[in-house]
Amino acid sequence: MTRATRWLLAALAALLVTWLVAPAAVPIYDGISNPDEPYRYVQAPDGKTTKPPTAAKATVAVNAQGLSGAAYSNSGENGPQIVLYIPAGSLQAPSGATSIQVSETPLAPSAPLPTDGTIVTNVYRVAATTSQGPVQVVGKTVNQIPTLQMRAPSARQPGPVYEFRTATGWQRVDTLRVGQDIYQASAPKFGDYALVQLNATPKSAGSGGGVNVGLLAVGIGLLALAGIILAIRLTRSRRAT
Amino acid sequence: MTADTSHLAGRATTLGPDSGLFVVARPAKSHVVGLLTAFSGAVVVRAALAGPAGARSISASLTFAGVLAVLAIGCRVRPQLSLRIAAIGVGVAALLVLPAALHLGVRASLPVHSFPTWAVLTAFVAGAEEAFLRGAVFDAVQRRHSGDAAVVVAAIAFAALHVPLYGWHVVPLDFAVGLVLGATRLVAGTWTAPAIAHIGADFGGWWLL
Repeated sequence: MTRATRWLLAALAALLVTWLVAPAAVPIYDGISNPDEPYRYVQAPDGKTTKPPTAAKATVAVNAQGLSGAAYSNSGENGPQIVLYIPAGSLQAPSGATSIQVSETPLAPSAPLPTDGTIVTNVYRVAATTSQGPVQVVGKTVNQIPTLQMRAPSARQPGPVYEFRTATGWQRVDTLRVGQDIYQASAPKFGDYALVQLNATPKSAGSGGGVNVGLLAVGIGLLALAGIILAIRLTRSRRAT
Repeated sequence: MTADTSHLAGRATTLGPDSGLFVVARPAKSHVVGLLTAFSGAVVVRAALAGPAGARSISASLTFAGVLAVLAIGCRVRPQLSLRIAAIGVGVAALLVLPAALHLGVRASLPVHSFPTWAVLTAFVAGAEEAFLRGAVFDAVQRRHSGDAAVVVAAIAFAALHVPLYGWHVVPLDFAVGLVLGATRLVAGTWTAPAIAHIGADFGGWWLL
């Protein structure tokens, strides 16, 4: 067996192990990302019909202290309409529980509706249960509590914001735009979340879009530096030959 | 003044299983540094142009791929194609898609009519990445150090380029994919095979995921 073949077998083994221990959410391989399929509604606006949305489910392992391991729970659309990321140690299961079942179930908007805007997605009920009883979010910092990413039906800007259903209505949640139509928020509580298009444009609407001029200048600077290095190297090479 | 001839301190180097043993000019360290700096610049420019659109920004992806393609052409990277190379590329593409299909399931949910345009753009981006990483960078590191180092350096660069687009959580998987593509380059002796594998995996992702 040649060294190259050994390399290939070892790399394929590494790929399989990586898929088993550290799977990533789609899209995986590079290129230009696949376009998303049309948004799937439980109850589409204007009476339109769509494919039914899928619920996301995952089983999360817990350690001897009852703390959760890291896990993803993605819905089945392409791209997923909702992704829940659970950092390691963010959930506390009751004593005796060996795993946690997390789910994000799509629902149609129901009264009471938000008063400051219109729900533009499904309402997703985020839940975590065990056979031994309820689960608590015990993470304290942003990096230690579950994170939600939801896909909006369009990339229209200003984009929607997260709202969380309370006992009396809906409460706005800090929202970060992390993709063209992907929005992220921390989920320190289980319950109902939705993206809401506000009636009035907020003064600060997420992370915005467009070209990052400062970063672009850094990139061009690096390319110029590389050009200088390669030009010097080429000149010396020609002199030597 | 004497000329800097360190890059001509040639030594026996193999350039793939079919190439036999050659004595080739050993590239200067600055050549490798220059290529990696250029690569960093291209990644940063792509992230800056894409903004929140990330990998979906076609203009940013094409700019990125264009820069890499120009660099690869400047390094005189040439494609090679034979039945064996194509077979290796297609086979590795299948191996790359298989675990993804098993893990994520087969959805086939994307609209067929969008495929041709997307495929052309994706093939250009993926091909340019391979021509640069498994072509220009791989050649330089292999000649300067070894084939093993070339596989690892190109895989690190491959994983790093995805971080601004998808986040740090994809690093383990993309590093492993980079190792597979680098090993494919070693087996085939040309960057064309990993390019076929990369493009094939992307295409497979469209139809299967």
